[in-house]
Amino acid sequence: MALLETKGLSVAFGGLWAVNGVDFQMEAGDVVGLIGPNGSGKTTFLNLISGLYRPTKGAILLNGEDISALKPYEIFRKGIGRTYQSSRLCWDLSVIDNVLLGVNNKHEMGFWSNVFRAKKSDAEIFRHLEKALELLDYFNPKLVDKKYELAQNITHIDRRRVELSRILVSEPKVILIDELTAGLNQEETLHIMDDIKKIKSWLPDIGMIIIEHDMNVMQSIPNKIVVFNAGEKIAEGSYSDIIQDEQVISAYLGGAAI
Amino acid sequence: MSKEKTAEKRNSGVPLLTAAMIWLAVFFTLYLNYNLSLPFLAVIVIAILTLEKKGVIESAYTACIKGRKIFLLAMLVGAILLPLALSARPYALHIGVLVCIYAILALGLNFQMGSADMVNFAPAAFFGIGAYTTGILTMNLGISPWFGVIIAAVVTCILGGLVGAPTLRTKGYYLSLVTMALQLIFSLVIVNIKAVGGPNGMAGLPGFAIGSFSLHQAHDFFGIRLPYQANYLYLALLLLAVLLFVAYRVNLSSKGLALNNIGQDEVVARCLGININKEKLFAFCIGGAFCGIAGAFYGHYMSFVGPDDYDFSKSLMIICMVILGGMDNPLGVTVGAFLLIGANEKLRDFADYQMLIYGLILMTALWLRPQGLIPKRVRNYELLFHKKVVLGPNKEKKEAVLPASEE
Ligand SMILES: Nc1ncnc2c1ncn2[C@@H]1O[C@H](COP(=O)(O)OP(=O)(O)O)[C@@H](O)[C@H]1O
Ligand SMILES: [Mg+2]
Repeated sequence: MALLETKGLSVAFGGLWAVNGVDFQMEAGDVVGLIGPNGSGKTTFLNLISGLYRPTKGAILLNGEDISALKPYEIFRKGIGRTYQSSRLCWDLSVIDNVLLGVNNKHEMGFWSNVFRAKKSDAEIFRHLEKALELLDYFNPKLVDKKYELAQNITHIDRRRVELSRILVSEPKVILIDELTAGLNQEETLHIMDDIKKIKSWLPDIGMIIIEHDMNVMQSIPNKIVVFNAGEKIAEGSYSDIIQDEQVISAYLGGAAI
Repeated sequence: MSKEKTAEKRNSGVPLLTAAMIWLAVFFTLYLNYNLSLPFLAVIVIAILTLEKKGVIESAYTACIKGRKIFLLAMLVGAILLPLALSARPYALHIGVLVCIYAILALGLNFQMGSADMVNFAPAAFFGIGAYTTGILTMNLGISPWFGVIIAAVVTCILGGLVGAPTLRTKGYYLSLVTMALQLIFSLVIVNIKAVGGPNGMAGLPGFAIGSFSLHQAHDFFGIRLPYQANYLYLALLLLAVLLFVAYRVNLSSKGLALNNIGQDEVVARCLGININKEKLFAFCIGGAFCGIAGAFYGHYMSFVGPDDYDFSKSLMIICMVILGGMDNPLGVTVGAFLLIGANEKLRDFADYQMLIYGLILMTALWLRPQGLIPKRVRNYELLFHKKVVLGPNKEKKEAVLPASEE
């Protein structure tokens, strides 16, 4: 059974089919690169999977279970976490609070146990705190020292790492990563790609969908690439298959080299 | 051993000093005549701004958390002494009670406005509903005022949820408009209901009593004759302490964090497993209950409920307390309530200019310091829990398995 599967997934805005009849499958441990021209529906595809948009047609299955009618918070709790095209941290919160948001729903405490702060919940908060700091340490040890700094005061690449930590701390099954390298320079791109590789080796069973324009990234990281154009999936396969695909070449710059 | 003792002594110095400063500031503001106390309030504001800028408040805050036992003990002693020290001035005691009541209201609003950035323009309506609820129950059914307060809290909690429910889909301006409408409707309706006295309100609410000890009478305490307002100040301080504690715990908990996230980016909150409808309703319910408790207490204290005490201008005042004091900081909004009630009551003598002066104070404060006098603090978990996080064995394990970072 596939880890994540979409069947004929479609969504229309007005008359525009932003995602149109996409059949997609990935197994545990897959890293799927999602490419396509601007406006081809990549972000919309992630928005559908994370529940922000309701599909007009089609279904989304996680481990065989239909999740297409669930709300975003329920989907996250099922184990699908995501990042955004531009960093979306809570700028007025500290680095560590931003990461802890990823396990916020796992504090199974109501109002009263918060007020009287039961021993058990204290221990749980600390367990999560340790896990969060371990993740930060793992991406960049300097972030551990900045744990109480406001998110607005850290560098762009560190913000990306905080975003990654925020979803990883929840122990997701699938992570959706939208243009992680947007706004990073070349050197930083290399660093953040190392971070992605680290995630892959650390959590070999996690499924990842990575939207990325940088073809070097696409060549080295994913084991499978899916190409979107005008809301439709036009090709799927390994990097070497994809770059020779006629449709893909014509979709990009009307045929110029990728 | 002796080293530890000196360390402890050093640790207890700052909390003691902080508590002393707080109570001295409170005492003098209440005790002085308006022509002295207004300049004194200005000095307090400037002092807070300067100390905050220099990081003194932050260090004091840290020291008070580290030495929390000694700090709380000192605060308790101050709370016991304050009504005694003011025993010759019933009006000063009265303002003290008002400060506590408005601080509770500001704490209630802070759950919505401070933590989750949902501006509720109707805290005074909940204040009023609390007062009218207990007024109707105690005067018509003869139940005890204590029960009246509890029922008022339950009623306003539920109403908070009912008001919150239709506003879940709205944000920003719409939420503000809906709550503003609610506030105006409340005032209109209450003036037109004859059974609760219409524009004249209801007089003769019973006062609180503990057994045969009536809070509505003067009593002797250590040979000092305490006016009845002093009894209420003790009770109000106790109530404020309890609710401040609740507000703090919620603020620091996962609930407080979820509300912050909702306030800053709802989409992200939804995609992080936070059931935002549930959390928003929680903020409305608990905020409503706080306001209801304040209202019921106020009604029994004044022995009177009337529409004027719960109108739109009161809602604006509570909003100003939250903004001026410091959004999302329970301590800050308490300070905001103290400063504005202090100034407002002293300005009663200039009734005509009262709103003007008060508006000017607020505008100046906001212009100079939009984040409030005592802005919110970063949650320092290790400090709060008295425990350090150690990244030990797991780190080595990880590095053994993983390719080393190239940084
Ligand atoms: N909420 C929306 N309402 C209307 N149109 C939308 C919405 N979201 C996306 N679109 C449209 O869907 C298309 C795909 O957008 P997007 O998924 O952001 O592309 P990509 O991420 O591949 O650059 C675009 O034409 C965009 O304008
Ligand atoms: Mg996009």
